[in-house]
Amino acid sequence: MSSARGMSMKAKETLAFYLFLTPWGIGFIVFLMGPLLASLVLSFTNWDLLQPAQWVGLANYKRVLFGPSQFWLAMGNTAYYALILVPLSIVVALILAVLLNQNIILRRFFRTVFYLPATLPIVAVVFLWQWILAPSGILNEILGWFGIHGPAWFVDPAWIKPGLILMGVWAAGSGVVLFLAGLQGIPKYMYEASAMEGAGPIRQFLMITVPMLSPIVLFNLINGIIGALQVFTQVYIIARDNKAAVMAVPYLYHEAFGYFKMGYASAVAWIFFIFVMALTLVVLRWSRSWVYYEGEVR
Amino acid sequence: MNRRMKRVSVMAMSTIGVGMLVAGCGTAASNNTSNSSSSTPAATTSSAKKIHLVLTMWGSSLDQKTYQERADLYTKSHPNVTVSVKLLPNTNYDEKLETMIAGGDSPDIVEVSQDYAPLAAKGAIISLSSYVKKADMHVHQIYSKGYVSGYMYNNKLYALPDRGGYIALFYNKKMFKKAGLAYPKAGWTWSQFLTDARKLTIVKDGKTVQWGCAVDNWWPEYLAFTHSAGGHEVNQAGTKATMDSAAFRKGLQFYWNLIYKYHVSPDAKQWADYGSDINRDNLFLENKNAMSISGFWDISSFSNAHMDFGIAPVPVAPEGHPSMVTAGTGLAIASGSAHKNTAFKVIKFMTSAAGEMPIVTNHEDIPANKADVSAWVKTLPDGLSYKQMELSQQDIFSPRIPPQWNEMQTDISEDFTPLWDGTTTVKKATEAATKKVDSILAGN
Repeated sequence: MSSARGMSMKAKETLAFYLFLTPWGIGFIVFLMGPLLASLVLSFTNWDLLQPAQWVGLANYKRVLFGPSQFWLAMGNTAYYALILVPLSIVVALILAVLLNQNIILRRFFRTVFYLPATLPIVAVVFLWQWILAPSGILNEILGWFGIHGPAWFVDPAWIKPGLILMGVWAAGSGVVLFLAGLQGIPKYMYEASAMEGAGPIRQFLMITVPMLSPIVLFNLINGIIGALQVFTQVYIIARDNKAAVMAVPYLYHEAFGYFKMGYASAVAWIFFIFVMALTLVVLRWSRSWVYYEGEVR
Repeated sequence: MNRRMKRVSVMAMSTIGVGMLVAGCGTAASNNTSNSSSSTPAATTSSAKKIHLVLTMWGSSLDQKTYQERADLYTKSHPNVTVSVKLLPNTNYDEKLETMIAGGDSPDIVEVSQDYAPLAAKGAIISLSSYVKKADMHVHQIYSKGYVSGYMYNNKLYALPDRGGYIALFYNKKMFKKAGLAYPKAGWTWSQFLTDARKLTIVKDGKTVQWGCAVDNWWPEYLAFTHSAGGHEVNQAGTKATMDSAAFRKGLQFYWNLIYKYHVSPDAKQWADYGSDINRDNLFLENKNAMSISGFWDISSFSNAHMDFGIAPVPVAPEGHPSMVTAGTGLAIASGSAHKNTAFKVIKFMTSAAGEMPIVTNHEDIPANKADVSAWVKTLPDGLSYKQMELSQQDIFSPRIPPQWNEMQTDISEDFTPLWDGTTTVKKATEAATKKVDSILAGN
């Protein structure tokens, strides 16, 4: 390359494109692709950080899937958590968004209030909820006024996951924001036209609002599934020794950094990744039947 | 809204998916990055006949200062050697240490606690037996009773006992006086302890305002009772779990009864009401707990809070086996060290009478070297007598810690959790834990 002046506009732009891309590209290769491939290779070894890794073939994968391990317990708990939390969060977020889209007094204030939990650091949230859900905590006290004897949320194995789910639903604020944005994008004439045809508010909600928001539902659904399956911090803080709350990523973390079974933990990570990927693809495929994109021709 | 939305969601999905994987198993990432951090100074300075050693430890900045003072005492008379003391995070010490070693950035000297066996089994730290022999050290004469055996693995010594201490019973003198009870003494029994604990428990309006002896499922705490009854978590060789033995169950039952039969300690729900960061020591500091089974490190925290407290031995079972588990630290040498001989000379000095003096002058936990104990006793806060402890040195024991210790502890905690919740029996919990630990020890 003698001089940049000799280059055509297009070549210059191409060069600039790759130059601008380089920092990200290097970061991607060094910090993402490298470790990713390394963990794939490690998953076939018994590496424990200190001794040289030995090739063990599929032994780790066999142990994860069939061997004596807590993998299925962790997957079961995680599935329970995600299966309830994700739909519940979406429904709650949608209802809140619709309410906050009405002409109510202090609308801006309420919008802020409902979004606030999403901005708080998760550790602070966990400590807050430990107080609220303590066996003689605020929530059980309030339940007591109505003669309900509240459970020992984070102590009783039967109530630890519901407790975690409650905490998760409380932080539905980011979903609310997306739905609000979506609601404001629905043209007014649709509601006007349907009203002329005699549709009531419920019918309008079901036939106009929900279909028009379906792409956002899908986005929240996929993000929610992935986020819920990866739940870590709250479990790590609250539920350390409780079998009812052994979850996938904390399980993986303990195997890797508690017991230094890097090979085994890598196998867990890959199997888990395949599960999440497959689940996401299934949801995407399924979404074709219910997600409506404006201007789409079927 | 158009088709772009869909593409966005697919992209979000795939990037988050990848992020998950990396977040999920950042093993290689952390390894790579630690590799590129500072290369061992030892390698660069050895050519100038100067030897630089790195010592890793956990704890407070006072701990760090004390280690540095002790190392400096050595380097003052050996100017060709320098030692830098690196403070690693408390909670992830093992994790950070193993990553350093795996990344080729091994320290030379390593502070270890009694759960060093995984490091020894993986060859991260070396056996010191031949060094001890060459140096003609008589370890049993140098260090206080009970400490040396704690660092023996496969009949080889892996660390020199450094900071001593064992689990003892701290009691609130005012509460004992108010209840008209004599202070606990060496040789006091389970039944005396239980009688006192019940008398010290005060209930007002159905709410316990003062606990006799709050226990919070810390393993050295229940081990005090199971061991004294003659029970062990695993057999001597560390190959089989023995928690289903009658002796172990007897001790655990006694401990459990403190919570659910005699109510001298909070149960799981009551602990949850206090909040997850509250333990027996916090209650002791708040004058809500008359007795706390804990380590020597509490001496300074209790005396800084101007508490009027005493130390007594943990009560002994009718079977009469030792009741106080050692809780000290040792100094080991990393197999990755390029200067093992020098490192040994340094730790030999640091654990000598002269080398441990800064522990005494800085009011740290008791030195493991016998020669310094009397000097250390003199530094105890006014009114705190060490006499009853001196009379019960035979009740100190080292725990049996196999290389699979970390996994074993997690499984025991999980299987004992329903016990602490009051939802299962000692028999069932120990049965489950024994089965699980057996499987771990068998290599599964």
